[in-house]
Amino acid sequence: MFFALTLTVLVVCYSGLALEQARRQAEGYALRYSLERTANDAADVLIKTVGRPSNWEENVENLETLGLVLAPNRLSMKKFEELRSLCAWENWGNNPAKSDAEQAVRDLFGNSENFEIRLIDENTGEEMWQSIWPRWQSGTTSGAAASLEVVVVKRLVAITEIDIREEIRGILRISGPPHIYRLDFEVESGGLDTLDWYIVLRPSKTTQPVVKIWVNREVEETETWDYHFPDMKPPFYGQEEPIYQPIYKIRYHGEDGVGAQSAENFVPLHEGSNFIEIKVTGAEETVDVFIIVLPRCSPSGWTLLGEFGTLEVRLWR
Amino acid sequence: MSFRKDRRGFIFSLDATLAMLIVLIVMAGVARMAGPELVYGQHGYLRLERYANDTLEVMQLRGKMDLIVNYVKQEYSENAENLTRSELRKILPTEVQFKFVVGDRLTVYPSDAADWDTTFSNVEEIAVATRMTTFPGNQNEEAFEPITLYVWRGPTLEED
Repeated sequence: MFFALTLTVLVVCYSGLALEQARRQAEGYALRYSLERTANDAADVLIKTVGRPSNWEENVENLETLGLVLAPNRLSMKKFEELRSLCAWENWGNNPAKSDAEQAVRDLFGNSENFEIRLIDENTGEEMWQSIWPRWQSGTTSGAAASLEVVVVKRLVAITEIDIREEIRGILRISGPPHIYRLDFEVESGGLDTLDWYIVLRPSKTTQPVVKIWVNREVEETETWDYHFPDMKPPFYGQEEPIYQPIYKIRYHGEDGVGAQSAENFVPLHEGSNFIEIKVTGAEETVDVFIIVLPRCSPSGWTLLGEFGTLEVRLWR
Repeated sequence: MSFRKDRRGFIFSLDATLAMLIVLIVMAGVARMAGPELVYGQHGYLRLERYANDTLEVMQLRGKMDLIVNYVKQEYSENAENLTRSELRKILPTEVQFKFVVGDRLTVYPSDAADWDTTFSNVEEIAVATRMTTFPGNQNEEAFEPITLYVWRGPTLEED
């Protein structure tokens, strides 16, 4: 009798507890579901629609609905950069002419400012480009890190402006006389005026292997190369260490051979077939070589982006 | 005080055992309901599904899908296989594995390991995305064939 009574009391108490837990669970689930739904819908809109008007990036004040692509899954860095600029600390909330555009951005995230948009390499988790959140400032982070509940949605995108024309991956420097590699590429009609042309290196070490490049001419024993990695020039005054940025502008804003060792020896690009010759020396390391084109006057840093990345939308309460 | 006089104790009848069992079941159910796995599980599957669809879209945008289909049409299966594998390995995270199928003409896994078919048939959570393409059929008519991408989470298998 006593045992049955105890069990009954236990069941009754536990039923109350279960009901309370179920209520809390349903409430939490609904809140989380709504946050997830908003984040998923926002990510969908960002990567599947061009926005309204479709060319809003040309005048951000006209923005009615946000979209970051030129075609589904084809991210426009220009739109990404315009949104970044709109959200910057010095701009967000400080320009009445852009208040409608700001509201359009907030509307996408359920009238909230608790969002962050990142472009990342999903395999490494590293940022490919600086992230966006309202009132971002360099050296600061968004509020996501401090929030207990953050929804993260990731979507794959191709990056529109980045066009890798040719590439050689994994050139390995081995002992003995250095090998010469040749990379042929085509410049289409009008391509010299509408595009900027780059050689981009991805070395396995900060300063190794040593790479010498000749544009539209064969390797010369006199070693009058056009580009040399790491940069042979002395570091700028005041810098503790030289910057080894392996991006070479073979045609940039209509100018040929920017930063080449000798302007006289440089053979400019021309429409039709072009080539570069590459000589790799130094330590036993590897290097990837790319010919990359960007729309004329785009930021050179875009060449360091890949042809695709992951757009990550973070939303929190 | 003798042991014989002290006759207090519990009697476990069948009823009591059953009642205990019911209480335990209720308690386990409540504890399970409180766990957060359900929400995260659904989100995980949604991500897999997005991986599959976005990957095919990105391959299409980069022109790689057309290249692969052309290789298959020209019966350069090895080229098609190599291109598919390198492209998918570049796009998808390393913990996501894939099976890429073009009609009954091409099947590509992340490596040449022999166990992929078994692994694939035992995977619990798989997301699928499909696109259609055309191949030359009989009597100069074009035949539609599906391009299907299956993705799932799991370790890669090394070649034998």
